[in-house]
Amino acid sequence: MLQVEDIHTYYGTSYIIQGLTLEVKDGEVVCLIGRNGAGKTTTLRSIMGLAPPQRGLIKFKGEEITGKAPFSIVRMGIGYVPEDRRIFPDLTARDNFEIARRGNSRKSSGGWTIEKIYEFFPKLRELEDHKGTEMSGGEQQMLAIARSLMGNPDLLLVDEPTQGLAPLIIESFVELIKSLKQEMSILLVEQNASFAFSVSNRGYVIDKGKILYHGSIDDLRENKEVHDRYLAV
Amino acid sequence: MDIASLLNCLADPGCMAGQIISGIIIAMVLFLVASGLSLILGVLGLLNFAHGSLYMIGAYFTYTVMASIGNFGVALILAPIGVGICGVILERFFIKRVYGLDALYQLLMTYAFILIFDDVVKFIWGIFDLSIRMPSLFRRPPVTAIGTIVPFYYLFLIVVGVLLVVAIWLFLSKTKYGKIINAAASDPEMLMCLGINVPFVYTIVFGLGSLLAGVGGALACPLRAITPGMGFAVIIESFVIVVIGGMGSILGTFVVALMFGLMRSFGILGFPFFELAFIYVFMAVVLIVRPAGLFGKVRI
Ligand SMILES: Nc1ncnc2c1ncn2[C@@H]1O[C@H](COP(=O)(O)OP(=O)(O)O)[C@@H](O)[C@H]1O
Ligand SMILES: [Mg+2]
Repeated sequence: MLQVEDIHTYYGTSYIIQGLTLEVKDGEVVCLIGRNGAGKTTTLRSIMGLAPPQRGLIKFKGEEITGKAPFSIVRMGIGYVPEDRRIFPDLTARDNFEIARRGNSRKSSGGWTIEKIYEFFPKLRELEDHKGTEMSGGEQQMLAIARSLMGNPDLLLVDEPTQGLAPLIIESFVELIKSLKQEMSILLVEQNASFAFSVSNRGYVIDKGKILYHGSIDDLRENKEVHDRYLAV
Repeated sequence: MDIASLLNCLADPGCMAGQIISGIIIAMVLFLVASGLSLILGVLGLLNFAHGSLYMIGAYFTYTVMASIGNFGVALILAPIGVGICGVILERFFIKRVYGLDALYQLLMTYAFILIFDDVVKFIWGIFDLSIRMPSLFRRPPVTAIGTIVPFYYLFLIVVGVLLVVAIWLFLSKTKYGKIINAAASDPEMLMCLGINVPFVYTIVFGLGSLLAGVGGALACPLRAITPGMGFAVIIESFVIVVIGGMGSILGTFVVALMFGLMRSFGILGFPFFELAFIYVFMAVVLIVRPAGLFGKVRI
């Protein structure tokens, strides 16, 4: 589904992503965990074409996407939920779905409609006429995820969805990710390792722009350093 | 100063109605130009000093259509579309290169285009003032009301102006495209991440803004001389309106254009030669009290 091969990304002269390789296979949920400033967001921005890598290769469904414009990458089937949610202040929930709705040429069956979104997120039906600025953090996060689904992604990149949310809401997001998994592959960026591990098939640990470890969730749980750094409270 | 004649006029319903009408007429043309400027500033963050030149081109295109076909209705459609196309070309090849750059670069490029357009106009249409005859449709007796006479074209201008305010407002606030434009103004990068071709949206917005300037130029034709440099006064006044109204607010632009027109038409009675000073003082006060403009949203 997604192959990132040895990418190097700079912000101006700052060398941020220093030769990173990762892969997401069909139907997988893969998490990318790491401390604040490790380069998780920059990795996603590199994939989306928002911070194009200067070297390296990114392939999606076998096709090279390095250097493509972000909107073309989205149209090829990648959805992006950024870390600060980026809700448009003047638009209602429904407006968000309308502008994000894309033609559904890739997928033959189903596809996301506003009605299907509301079945999936009943709360958003109640909030359809509310502006994003009038919603709670958890509701905004739901809106941010729901709106990216309107583009019918085959791969969803989600950046720290649990950030700033209450434990009870985080629990409901576990179920959410598990049901989304039925329909698409997911690359999940998290600092909350216990949340990430409870929904993922595999994981990568990133530090200073490089992958430190990768393996199955069980391997990661057993790794002493990962445990001490990211799971010990 | 001539306060007495201002007071006399305020006491006389006929004179007052006349001044109000002429203030509204000033406002309608300015609104159209300023709304395009406001759209471009609000969505693209671009200080487009060449916007007045697009207004001027709208007037010259109208002149040409009138000279060749002689139908004002056709001119009113063709001239703005022509200006919109000029805007699209301008954006595609030049303007898009200065987005997000320091305002100084934007000023330099758009100011350069004022000079270029003025010379192009002189080259094609000559250096002398041109004018068109009042279109035959409007050559009918003026309407008399509340002791003042209102030329028929004025009524037409007011109706068209109000219809356009409503149409622009409906387009921006009710349609999917309007919502995309709104989202592009607040977070273009996120919009791109929803699969929307934002550079294309920018081109369309610049084209629409130019088209509005073109409508202003076309509608002004029967009232004013068509002359190189006619865009300059208009661009300054439009900027004042956008700044006072708050950029990106169509309603704000309309209300402030009306205030501007009335201040001018009454100010010219009481304070001939100084009527514009009032407006600038007013702008300074607004900017001190509400830096985002009267109707602008304060964004952080
Ligand atoms: N726009 C930027 N310009 C310069 N440096 C940046 C920018 N954004 C992030 N950085 C730096 O890049 C590094 C990685 O940041 P980021 O990818 O946001 O980390 P994470 O998402 O893992 O917290 C940090 O050291 C951060 O300071
Ligand atoms: Mg981050």
